[in-house]
Amino acid sequence: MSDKKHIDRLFQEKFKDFEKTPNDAVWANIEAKLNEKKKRRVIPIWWRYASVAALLLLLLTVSNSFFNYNSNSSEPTNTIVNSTKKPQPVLKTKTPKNITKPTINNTENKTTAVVSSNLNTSKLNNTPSSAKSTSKKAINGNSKTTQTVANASVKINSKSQKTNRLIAHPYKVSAKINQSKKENSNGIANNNLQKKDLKATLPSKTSYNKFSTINNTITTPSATLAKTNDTQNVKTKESSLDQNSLEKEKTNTIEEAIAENKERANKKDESKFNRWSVTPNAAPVYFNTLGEGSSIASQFNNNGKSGEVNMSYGINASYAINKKLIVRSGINRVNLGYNTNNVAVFDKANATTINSFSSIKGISGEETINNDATKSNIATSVSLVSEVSLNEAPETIASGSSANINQSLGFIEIPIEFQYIVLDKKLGLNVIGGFSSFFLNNNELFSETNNSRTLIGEAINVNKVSYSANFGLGFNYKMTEKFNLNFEPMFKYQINTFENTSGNFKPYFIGIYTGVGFKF
Amino acid sequence: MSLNQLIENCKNNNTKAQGELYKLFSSKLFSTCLKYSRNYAEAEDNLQDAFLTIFNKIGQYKNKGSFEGWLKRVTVNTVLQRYRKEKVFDIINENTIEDIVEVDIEEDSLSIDYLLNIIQELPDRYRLVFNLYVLDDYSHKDIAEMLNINIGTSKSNLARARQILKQTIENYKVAQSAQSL
Repeated sequence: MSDKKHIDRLFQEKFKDFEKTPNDAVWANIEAKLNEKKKRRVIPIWWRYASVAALLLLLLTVSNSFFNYNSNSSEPTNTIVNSTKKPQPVLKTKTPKNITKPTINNTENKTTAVVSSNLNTSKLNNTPSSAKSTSKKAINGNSKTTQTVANASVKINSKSQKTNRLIAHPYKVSAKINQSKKENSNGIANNNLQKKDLKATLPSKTSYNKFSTINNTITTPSATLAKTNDTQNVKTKESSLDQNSLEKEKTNTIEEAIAENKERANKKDESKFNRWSVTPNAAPVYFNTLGEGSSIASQFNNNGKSGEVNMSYGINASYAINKKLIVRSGINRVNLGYNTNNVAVFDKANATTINSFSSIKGISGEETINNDATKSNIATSVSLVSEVSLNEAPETIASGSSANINQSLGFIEIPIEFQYIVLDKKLGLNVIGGFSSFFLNNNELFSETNNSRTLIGEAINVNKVSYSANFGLGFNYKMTEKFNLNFEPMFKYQINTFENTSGNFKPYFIGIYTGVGFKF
Repeated sequence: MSLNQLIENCKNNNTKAQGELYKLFSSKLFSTCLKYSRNYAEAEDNLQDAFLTIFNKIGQYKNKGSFEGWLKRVTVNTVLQRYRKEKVFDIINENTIEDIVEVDIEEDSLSIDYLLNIIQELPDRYRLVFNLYVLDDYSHKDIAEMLNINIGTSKSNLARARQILKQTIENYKVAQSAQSL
């Protein structure tokens, strides 16, 4: 019993330097998982970019439609504002009746406008008590033309009690002014006024009215003045002549402004007109790989393969950011087909016997063969063997039926593409680039022997979501303003359609998309 | 390339460096996985998970303490996580068993494979406690925290593990001598 020891010691000693090299497959798995993670990390980045782009696009469209709406509604008001504003500065310089202006803006009524203008003059000069003196002072405080008006009113005051009252009792002014206008306005002043009115093609009646009130206030006193004083009459004539010339200028500017506005509105309408477009399309698509290799199993790397021509159809909506650049997206259904030739198809029972021949590798099935480095990527109850390698195999196996394996994949494609317009004529040319997301919705493998086609399973290495980089040229023929015929050869390089492909399998497809676009 | 450089490269997700690191430490960590797992296949799974965690969290290693120690801790934690999750601990009278039975054993030429095998065949909790306490020098207090059990439970689990191992070895010896007769 001398060599008895505690069980802990026994284990400790034995396991002290215990090391064991794990199977290589462990590292292979780890590596695959790490790569998967890296890929996953890459995809979210482009998703992020895509979402940012989509968001921008959305913002653009929303803000654009908002602004369009806004400018449409605001443009007419703009013209009014412009036209009402423009005569005011002219009046300022010509007849500095600054006093009347604010009141005109505030009041719609002709008469009250005049009344309050008088009131304002007095208020502005801080002497509201004695109407006579204040009116004098007030008007004297202003420049020449108002002086003429002032002089006129002063003279009216001195001669007629009516006009005296006009200033003394501002509230009665309305009637008097109207009267005096009626009496006198048929003279030179009002003629002038009417001429001006005709020239001034103002769109708004209110501003027109306001404008005429201003003229009235100016012209009525000057008209009375013409009656009372000859010398001053000359002056007022001069002033009214000046007014005339200025009015002409003014109307010109107004007309110009209106024309400008109209032009602007037209432009906006034009550009807005064709921004959106919807294009249903259909395309024959040809699927193939850039490198040698097989998406099914490495044993088929050297087999003959051929792509299939299938159809893709869908609908695109595009939005023109400007005259040169169009963004578009849509939804397409894509079917892709790919044939691998010279494949022997066995059912599962035979597969196990075949498995024992080392020359034939990678027999597939639901049971994946653990120690085989080249697993195939399909889940099926039959086994596939490349006949290329079968040459070495015993004859009994070679008697298996020779077939083509047809891989059929269906996707829902959602592209985000930019179109840069190179030529914008009747026959247009544009360059297209972008990305597509693919969502797998059909995944089948068929074996084809002498016209018989049997479903043998599905590929397990096709990703549910994959992407492609798209390039292409677009030709369009404008049939009418609204319709055009599109013809777009596209090359789509698929990025992660398959998880584990053997060899250098780089799938892509070419599609020639044709469709009729409707612009609105 | 120095180990520190290698660690830095691994932090940058350099695939080559990750492969190097794996080459350097996989044997050691795999032995840990083997001891703590139920069988070879699960040990492989655990090693894979451990390395994925290591590459994922290598940024958290701040060059404090031995890198190998850190790797081992991550590995042990990975394994514990799996068996903690599975909660299939075989618990029988665990608080009543005291370490009173003699657990000394005659040293014989027992192969390491055999010893590994009988460790793996221990019920999960016993295996974990035995490994942590006997082979990896954790205290009962640490073990209690790591496995979320009482210190007493840890102690009795250990005693039970020793007894089972001793019994198994003795039975094995008897069988062997019977065979050789």
